[in-house]
Amino acid sequence: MNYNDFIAVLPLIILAMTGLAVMMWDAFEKVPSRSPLLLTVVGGMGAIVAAVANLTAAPVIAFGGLFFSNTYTGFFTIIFSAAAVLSALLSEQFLKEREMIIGEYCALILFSVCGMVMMASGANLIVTFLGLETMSIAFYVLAGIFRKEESSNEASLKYFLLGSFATGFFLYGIALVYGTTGTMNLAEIRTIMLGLAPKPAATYSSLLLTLGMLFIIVGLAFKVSAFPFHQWAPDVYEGSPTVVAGFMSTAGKTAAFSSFILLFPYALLPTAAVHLGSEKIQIVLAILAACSMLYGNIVAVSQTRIKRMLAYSSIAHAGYMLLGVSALNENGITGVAIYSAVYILMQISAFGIVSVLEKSDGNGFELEDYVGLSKRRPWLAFLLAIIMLSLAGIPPFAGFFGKYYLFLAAINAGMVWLAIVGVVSSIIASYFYLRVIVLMYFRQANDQVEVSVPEKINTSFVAIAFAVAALLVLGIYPSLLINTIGYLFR
Amino acid sequence: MTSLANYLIISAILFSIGAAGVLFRRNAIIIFMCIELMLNAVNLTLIAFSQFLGEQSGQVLVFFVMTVAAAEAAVGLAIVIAIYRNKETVHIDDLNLLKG
Amino acid sequence: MSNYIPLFLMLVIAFGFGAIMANLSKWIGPKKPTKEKLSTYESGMEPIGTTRDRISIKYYIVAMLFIIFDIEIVFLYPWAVTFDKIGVFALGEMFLFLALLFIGYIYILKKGALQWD
Repeated sequence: MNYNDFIAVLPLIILAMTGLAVMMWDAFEKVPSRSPLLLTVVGGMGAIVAAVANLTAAPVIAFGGLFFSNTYTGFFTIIFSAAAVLSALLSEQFLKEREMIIGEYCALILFSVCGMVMMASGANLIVTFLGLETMSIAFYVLAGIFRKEESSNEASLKYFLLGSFATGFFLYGIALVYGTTGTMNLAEIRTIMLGLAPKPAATYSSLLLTLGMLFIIVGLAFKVSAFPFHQWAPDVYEGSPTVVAGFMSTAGKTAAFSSFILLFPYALLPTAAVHLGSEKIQIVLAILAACSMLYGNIVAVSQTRIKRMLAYSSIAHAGYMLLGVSALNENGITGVAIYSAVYILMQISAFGIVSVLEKSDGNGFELEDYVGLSKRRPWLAFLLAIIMLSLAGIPPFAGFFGKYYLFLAAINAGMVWLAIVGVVSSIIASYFYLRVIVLMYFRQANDQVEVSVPEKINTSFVAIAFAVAALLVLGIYPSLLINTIGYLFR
Repeated sequence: MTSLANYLIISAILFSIGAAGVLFRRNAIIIFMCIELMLNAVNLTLIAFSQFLGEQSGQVLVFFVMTVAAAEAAVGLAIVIAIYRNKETVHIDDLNLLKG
Repeated sequence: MSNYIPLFLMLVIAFGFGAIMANLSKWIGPKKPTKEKLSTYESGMEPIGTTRDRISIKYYIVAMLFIIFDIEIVFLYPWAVTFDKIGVFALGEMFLFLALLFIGYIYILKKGALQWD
């Protein structure tokens, strides 16, 4: 045990301590103030700085094989912390309008980010499991944070019951993998799967190992809402507060993908694995990816409410990232990392704009409410248009490069059919993304008086503008992101 | 001496009972109890593997699973109480605001 | 398998004995019901209200919090058993763990979750 281990997990410590501090502040505060928000932003920034410092340090496995600390974990720590800061900023106005105290909310966001960082840096199945649960339990509470609202209650219960059901499967998968490989350490599992270390003779069974992997896939596919395990996603995202839905559908999903990569391409299915069923499992992943992409995009076309449309399209985005995982090669991993960063920026700011426009009486969700938005809120309409173009993957915007890498990975892995499915589903997707732009700019609202509302410069607007600016910069100079990710697994 | 297979089969049966309960029961509290049954079935698997491998980390995970199950129980009951205060029911067929 | 036969026999006898004893008085005892005998308690107070009353929701909150704090023993026990081998560092870690739990306790105290009224 040495103190470098603590340096390696410093971002995690900062996040947890900030979470506790925010919680205590909330408990002792007499008059609600902005301090919890400020503290959250400072803590998130601190975690980002610590993670950047770790990016340049030598990769280590801290605490006797419990935590990875390398560029991969650093990258994901940065994007999760950034997502936390963005959604804390976005929700200030939203929560104030609904008379909610921001302290508890910020503390839960920080705790869930702790879980995400644990998932992205877990070098041991125990840490991965604990990270998943820390994140999920915080999400169950966040989804139901509007205690008095029935839809929030229902979303929370639904998420909780289905989420813990999936946790059961994930845990059973872990138990079977542990039993057949004899270890919980991902690096040791990797050597066993590569045939470089002996399998435990007493308990090894090829069937149980394959079953274990399938159960882990079921558990994680639920968390990312991939196709057959997606039913909860639209309901939960629609019912929970919009800012929470934005956070869950981005950071939560990409966190599950970060551990998907550690579990599958790294530990359980490394290239040239000697385990018998590996190709079959790759096919399973590929089919899940293809179904999610097609299903999410096709169903999103027929939605009339913007939150449900975004929810179904998030199923499709999970499909794109799952495509990168199923390629099981380095390009796929790079693609998932790039797409995670870009997807977080796009989707959080899309949900952010929805949360700004929605009325506290529950109106403002219909796509019809966006007709003529360019006249009423020209700046917000402009930002939303850029986000929609990026979500659709139109070339000069950042979304395009993410997709490009993912499809390239599928082709490199010899799965051209999967790349074709991806391209076809992207074309379907561009229909409903561009429809939003058409509604905002080229359709006149006939019964309304068009009055341009001057944009108030509040935290929400700043956060959205910042995210969109980041999308533009990353779209024009994708090399910024790609060079950073170039270090991954160096 | 009971073999490893016996333990695995009994825990698989318990897990299936729990999973079937989640799918077929309609009361939120009972569904929740079935989920706990699933987690405990996995604990049995972990202990059995740990015993036959002569390796401790399986037992360590069992401790954490117990803690996580307790935390889930607390959060789950809190959600159920919140729902009950608003709707006076915990029957999931009565919770139908979000269908589509 | 034959080792189990005595065990099996003992089980049969035990269950049989229990079942017979529990029902013997019902079978051979005389039954002369009166109104007084059929009331809930032959002696003592008349029962008031229904037995299926709801327990106050506050009880559940306390029970929930009890579960959370009770489960810490799962970590304390293995630590205590191996304390002589893992030394001062683990002592510090355990104090950290307890401090975190204590922060949670302060939180619920300040939020008023333990106030009964």
